[in-house]
Amino acid sequence: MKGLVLAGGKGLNMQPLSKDFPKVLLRVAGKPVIDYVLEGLISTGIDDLIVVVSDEQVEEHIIRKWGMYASVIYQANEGLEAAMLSASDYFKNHKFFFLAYGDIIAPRDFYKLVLNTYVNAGEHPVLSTVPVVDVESYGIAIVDGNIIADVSHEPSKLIKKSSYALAGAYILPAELFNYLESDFTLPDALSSIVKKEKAFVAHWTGYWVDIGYPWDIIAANCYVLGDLKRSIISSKAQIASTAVIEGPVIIEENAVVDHNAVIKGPVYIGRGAFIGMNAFIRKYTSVEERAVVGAFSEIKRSSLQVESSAGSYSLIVDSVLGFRAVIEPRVTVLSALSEEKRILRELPLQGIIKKKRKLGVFMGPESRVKAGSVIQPFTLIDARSAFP
Amino acid sequence: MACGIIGVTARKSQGSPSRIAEIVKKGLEKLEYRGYDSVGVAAIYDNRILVRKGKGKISEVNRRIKLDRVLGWTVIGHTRWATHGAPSDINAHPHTDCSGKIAVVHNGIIQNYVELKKELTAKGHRFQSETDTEVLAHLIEEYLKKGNEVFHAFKKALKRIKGSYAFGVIAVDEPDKIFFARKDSPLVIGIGRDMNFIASDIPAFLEYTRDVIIVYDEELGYITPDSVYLEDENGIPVNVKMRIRKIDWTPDMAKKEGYPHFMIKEIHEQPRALRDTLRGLDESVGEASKLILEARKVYFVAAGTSYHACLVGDYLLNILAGIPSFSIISSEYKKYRRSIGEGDVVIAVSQSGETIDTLMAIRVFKKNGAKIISVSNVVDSAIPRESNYTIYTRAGPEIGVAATKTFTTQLLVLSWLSLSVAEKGGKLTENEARKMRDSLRKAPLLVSDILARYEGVTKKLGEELMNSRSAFYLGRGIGLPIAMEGALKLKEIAYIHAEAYPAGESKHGPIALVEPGFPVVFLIFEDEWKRHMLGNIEEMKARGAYAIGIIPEESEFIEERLDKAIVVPKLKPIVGTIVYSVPLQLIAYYAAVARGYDPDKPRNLAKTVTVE
Repeated sequence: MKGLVLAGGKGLNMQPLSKDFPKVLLRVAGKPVIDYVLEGLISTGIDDLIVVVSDEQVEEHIIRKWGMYASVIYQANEGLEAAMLSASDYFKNHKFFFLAYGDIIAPRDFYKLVLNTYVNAGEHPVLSTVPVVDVESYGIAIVDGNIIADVSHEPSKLIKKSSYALAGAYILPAELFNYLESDFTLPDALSSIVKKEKAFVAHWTGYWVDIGYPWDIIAANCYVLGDLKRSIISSKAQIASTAVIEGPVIIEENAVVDHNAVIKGPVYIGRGAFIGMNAFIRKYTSVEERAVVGAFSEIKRSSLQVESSAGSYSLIVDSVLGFRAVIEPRVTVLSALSEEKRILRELPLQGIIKKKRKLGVFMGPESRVKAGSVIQPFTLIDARSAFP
Repeated sequence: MACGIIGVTARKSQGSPSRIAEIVKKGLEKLEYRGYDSVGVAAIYDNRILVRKGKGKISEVNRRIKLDRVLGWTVIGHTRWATHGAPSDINAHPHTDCSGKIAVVHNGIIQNYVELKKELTAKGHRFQSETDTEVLAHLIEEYLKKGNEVFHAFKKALKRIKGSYAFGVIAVDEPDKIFFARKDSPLVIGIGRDMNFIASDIPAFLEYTRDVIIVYDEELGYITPDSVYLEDENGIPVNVKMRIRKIDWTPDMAKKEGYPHFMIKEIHEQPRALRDTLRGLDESVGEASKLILEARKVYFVAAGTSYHACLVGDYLLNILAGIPSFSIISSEYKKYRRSIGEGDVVIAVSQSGETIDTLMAIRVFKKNGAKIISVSNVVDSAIPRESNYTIYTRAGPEIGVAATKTFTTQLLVLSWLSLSVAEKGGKLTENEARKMRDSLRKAPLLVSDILARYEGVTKKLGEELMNSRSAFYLGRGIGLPIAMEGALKLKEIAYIHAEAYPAGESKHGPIALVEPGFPVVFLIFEDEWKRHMLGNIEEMKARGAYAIGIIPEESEFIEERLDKAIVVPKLKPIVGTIVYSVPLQLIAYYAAVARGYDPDKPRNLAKTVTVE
C-alpha cells in the first residue's frame, strides 16, 4: 500500500516556534516530528511514500534521511485539500491508500493498529481515533461500536457526544480525491465516505500528541522520554568524572557534560550539546543538537531546540526554546498558571501531589531574553525579537 | 490449574505438514488467557513424536523455537499455568513417556501423583519433569507394555488417577487419533471438515468450525480427522450427533478488531453485551424468582468480580424485596456447610461456570438439600450443569483476564431478578417494577453514551494515577460494591494498591493513610446518601486527598469540591451500578497502559480459576 504524508502548512497555532521554521522539523527527544510518523509507517511496511511539503528545509531533510522510501512533492496551494490534491495522481490508480498527518507523535504500534484493523476489516476504510480531553481542539469522530458513524471538524455540534479525536492516520479509498476535486473540504469528504461505506475504528489508547500548540512539544517529550527503559550513552560523549547521571538518559556523541553537572532522567542530550559545570538537568528535558546549558542553571521539563542556549545561573521550567533562541544569564522562568487561566491541552501532571498546571516561556527562532529577566508564566516571545 | 489445551488432527489432504502446527499455535494464542507461563506442542510425524516446548509467553517461545513449524497432521498443544513444578522448559507440556511414543497435555491437578510416581519409578520409569502430568504418559506406557490397545491403556491409566483433568493424548501407534478425557476441567470438541479439534475453550478453534460438542464430566474418547468417539462415565458410547451445538459467535469476536487490547474491546462491547443479555431475560427469571420467594433463606456465592456483583444482588433483594440475603465468598464456603441446606436457595455467580471454589460450594450446599440458581456466561459449563436453574449473561467470550462486560451483565441479571422477586412478592407494584425495568432497559444506551463522552477524561485520570502508590474507593449503599470492583480493577491490572470502604467507615481507620495527593474516588449516586458523601469528601480534602468523583447531574455543590468530576445523568441506582462501573474500568485500563503493562495479561492472575 502507498502512503501519503502531509508535512506542509504553516502551523499557525505553533507560533512563535514555527515562525519561519517548519513545524515538522521541531525536535522531540532528538528527532524531528516528521520522523516519528515516517518511522511508524515504514515499520508497518508502508514504504512507498509521498510526502507533501511546503518548505525547502523539509524537502531536504526527507530526501537526505528518507530518500529510500519517500518522494517529495510541493503543495500547490495552501490548505489540506490543496496538499492532498497535489498528490492525487500518485494514488488514483490504487484502491486504498494510507493517509498520515506529519505532526503526530505516537508509538509505532499506533500505525500497526491502523493497518491491522484494515486487514481484519477486509478492504474497508479505517480511521484512527484517540480519547482526549479538550476534544474541541481536534477533529471529532462519532463512533458506534467499532464503526465510524460521523466525523466533524466543527466541534460545537459534537462536543457533548464524543471524546474521540480523529488521530491523523487513516486508510482511505482513492475515491477521496474525487470528492476533493469537487471542492469538498477534507472533513466533508471524510464524512461522505464514512456515511457511504462502512468505516472501521482503529481505537488507539496509548500515548498520542498532535503537535499543534507550542506546549505540545513538552507533552510529546514527556511521553517519548517516559518510554525510555534504559540509558544509551555514546562512547564519544565527554562526561566529566564528577558528573552525576541518574535514571534513563540518552546522551549522543560529542555531547559534553561538565563537572558536577547532575542529570536526572528521563532526559535527552543531543549531539554536540553542552551541559555546563554544576548545571541541573531534570526530568523530561531534551537538550537538542548543539544546544547549550550554561553553568549553574536548572532546567526542568523543557525542550531546548537545536542550537538554542540557556545562560548561566538560570532557572528554566516547562518551556520551549526555539531554534537558536538565547536566554542570557540569570534569567528566571515562572510557570505556575493561575487557577482561572484556561488553556487547551494542559500538560500531563507530574504526579498528582502537586496539582499545579504549568506553562513557562515559548521562544521563537533566534529570539533572545535579556540577562537578569524574570519571565511570567505562559509568555510567548516572537521570533528574532528580544525580551523584554 | 488454569491451563489451556488444544489438539488438532487432520487428513493429509489438508495442506502442508506444518499447517496443523500453525493452527495449534493460533489456538494456543486464543487460550493464552488461561495461563501463559510456558507453552509447548507435540506432533506425530514419520512414526515419531516431536516435542517443542519452553518457558515464556507464546510469542516469545515461538520466536525461539518455532512451535508453528513442527511437522505432522496430529498435533497437541498446551499453554501452562504452573502449579506443580515451577515454570521451566522441562516442566512445560507436552510430556512424554520413556519410549517417546506417547505425549500428554493436561489441565488440572493429579492429586495422587506422588504415589503413582513412586510406583512407576520403582518399575524403572524415568521422569523428566517435576509435574504431576507426566505420570499419565508413563502409566499409559505401562499398560501398553501389557499388550493393551492405546485407547484401553489410556482408560486403564485414567482409572488410576485421582484429581481433576482435561487430557489430550497422542500415541505413535495410532497416529491419527487424539485421546481425551475430562473431569472437573473444561473440554470441548470442534468438528471441522477432514479436521477435528479438542480444546479447553471454544475460541481456540472458532476460526475453523462452529460445530461444537461440550464434553461432560467423566466422559472420554478420541477424535480422528473425520470422526468423534465419546463415551460416558459408565463406558456407554454417546450419540455424538445429538450433542453437536452450533456456536453463534463470529470467529472475529475472539480477535481484537480495531482495539489494542481485549480489555478495551470488551469494555466497548458492553452496550451490545447488555442488549443481548436483556433480550434473554424475560422468560428466564420467572422460575428463579419463584424459587427465591419460596426459600427459607437466600445466599449468594461467588469469587472475585462475581462476588461484587453478588453484593449488588444481595443489596437489592434486601432493599426492594425485603428478603434478607447474604453473600459468601466461595472459598469460605465451609463456614456454612452445616447452616445452608434444605429449603435454602443459593445463587452462584461465575463468569466461566467453572470456578472451582464456587463449584465445590454448591456441591456441598446441594447435597445438603439447597436449591441452586446459577448465573454464568458459558452455556453448559460445570456450575450451570449442577444447578437447578441457570440464567445466562450473554456477554460473548471474554478474553481479557479482568472481568468487564461479564460484570456489568451480571449486574443486569441480578438486578432484573431482584425486581422480579420484589414484584412477585408484592413489595413493588406492577407500575414501580415496570419503571425500574424500563430504566434497566436503558443501560445499553447509557453505557455507550458514558463511553463516548468520558473515555478522554478517564484516559487522563488513568495517566495521572500512574504514579500513585495507593488509592481509596469510597461508596455507600449500592455504591459500595461498585467501589470494591473499581478498586479490584486498579489492583489487578495497573498494580496500584487500592482499597474500597463504606464511606462512613473511612474515618474509623483508613483515613489515617491519607496524605497530600492521595487519590480518593467517590461514587455518588442519586440516592439517600448523596448529601452524606459531601462530608466524606470534605474530610478527605482536609487531608490533601486528590478527590475524584462520579456524580449525578445537578450536584454542583459536590462538583465544586472535587478535583475531578465525571458527571453522569441522574439515574436510578439500580441502573447506576452498571453505568458507574464503566469509568472505573476505563481508569484502571488507562492507568495500566500508561504504566506500560499489558492489561490483558496481569501477572500472577489467570482468567478462570479452576484450582482451589
